[in-house]
Amino acid sequence: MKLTFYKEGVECGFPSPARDYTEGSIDLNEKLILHPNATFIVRARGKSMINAGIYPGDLIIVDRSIKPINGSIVVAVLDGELSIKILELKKDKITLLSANHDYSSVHVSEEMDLIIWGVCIHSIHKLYKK
Amino acid sequence: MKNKVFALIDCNAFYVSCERVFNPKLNNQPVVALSNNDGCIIARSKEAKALGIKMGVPLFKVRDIIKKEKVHVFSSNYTLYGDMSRRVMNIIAEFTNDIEIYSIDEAFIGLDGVPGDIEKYGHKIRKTVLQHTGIPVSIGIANTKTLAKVANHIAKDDISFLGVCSLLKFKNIDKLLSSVAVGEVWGIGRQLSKKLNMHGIYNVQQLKNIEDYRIRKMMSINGLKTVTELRGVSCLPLEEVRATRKSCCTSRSFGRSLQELEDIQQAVAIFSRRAAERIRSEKLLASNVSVFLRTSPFDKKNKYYFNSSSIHLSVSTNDTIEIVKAASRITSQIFKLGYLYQKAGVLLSGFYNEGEEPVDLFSTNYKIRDNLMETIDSINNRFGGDTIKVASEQHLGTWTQKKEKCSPSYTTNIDTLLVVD
Repeated sequence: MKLTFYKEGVECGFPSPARDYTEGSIDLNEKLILHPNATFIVRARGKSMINAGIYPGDLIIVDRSIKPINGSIVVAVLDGELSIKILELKKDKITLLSANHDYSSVHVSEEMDLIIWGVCIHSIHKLYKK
Repeated sequence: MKNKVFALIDCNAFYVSCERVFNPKLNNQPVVALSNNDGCIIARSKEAKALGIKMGVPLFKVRDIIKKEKVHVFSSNYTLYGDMSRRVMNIIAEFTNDIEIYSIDEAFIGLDGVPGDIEKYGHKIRKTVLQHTGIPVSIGIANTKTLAKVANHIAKDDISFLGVCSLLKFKNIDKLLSSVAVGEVWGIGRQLSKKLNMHGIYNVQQLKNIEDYRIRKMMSINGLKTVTELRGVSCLPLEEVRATRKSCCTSRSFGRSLQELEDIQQAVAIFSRRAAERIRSEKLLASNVSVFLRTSPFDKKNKYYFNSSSIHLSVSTNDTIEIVKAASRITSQIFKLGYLYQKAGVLLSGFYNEGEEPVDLFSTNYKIRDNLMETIDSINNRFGGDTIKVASEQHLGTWTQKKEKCSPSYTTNIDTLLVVD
């Protein structure tokens, strides 16, 4: 998608006096994706992350090159199952939190196999539906 | 002169690994990927290997074991594999400027002048590729490309190397080489391997030590090069791509940097034609066309840009016109205005032998053009490679894929993204 960005407002009727102030265009790929080779887009399903601003059907930009920290929203693989969760890192204890009271959180025990697939860096939510 | 240092980076069971990135349940499960026509097995996870499923075996021959052992089977998803390959290669290219993309899942790199522990550097590359893409790779490091390939085999075979084997740290590599069969050496096929076995040559150590006159007798001129390389003397520089059955790449740096799409289209058309000629001479048909573009990595004044993309052809072909069309379409997609392009290339892959390609009922039959291609080739052979060219044109064709057990194009189609709860 290309959006042209004008420093001045655009006037109707006459050739815009702002024409000479064009600053190129905003490239959302460039702005939203920091590491293109390590970035994947996934689609969210379910309502477990609604209070974190992730709604069913949203596009989530996931960066695999970022190191997850306490509080990161991540795509986690727990015993082979993919899910979007908030990563809570406390001393000796890892928890995957949901952002919706109707959904449970999971304490990751020794026997469980947890892989952080990537860190969610943006959510794209559609506001206008045809 | 200081010895050269090469590394071969090879993705482990690449097609299977791509499927696993988007379907983690497949980890630790037996998984195989099929050739284009769902005909043969062309990639196996190590669990599938352990079940005795051989490389290249037709699917129907292993149906029983697949059912019994619940082996996961995938049609080859070249759209996905091509995109994952692009990512892996781009990440490797961040570590070195000397890179030769050898096939969809292998690259040779030059590591001359890397300061410090080269093996550690190898582990760093391996870790980065794995973290950023989810694809595990093995790395072999040595003073020649052929030895780097042997080292790669050792890294894959012996888990104690943790994926990276550098022959540079061994004072004497003879013992290691004697553990590798001659058939594993780059450029030694099944026939030659049998022949060598008959002469009592079974492992790489033995091959390395036979006298030159015997090598000349048993092998071609390339054979002598191979053995010389096994002795640690580099004869094959990067980018001198020897014929490979997995892919065919033609690329060139431009005489001057190009800015206009039109100029680049022209160059890409030339590369496409050469690649098509080359695979025609080898009686191969390609089902996948990739194009890459890049600016100079050494130009510190201007912004760096690298991009590549692929198209899957519903009908595999070695027809210059079809390949130029596909390459031109990709070029328009990946071209971005405002950069000084220095290099481009065309990569053909997904090969069939002529006559063994799958038949597509709904597509035009390109066979009628075979005579034309034959004529063009004979004229070009006689009067020089550039006598007859294609007037490169834009054309939007339909490239669709038909496969039974194909995973979605997770990374290239917004309607088939990975869905996560």
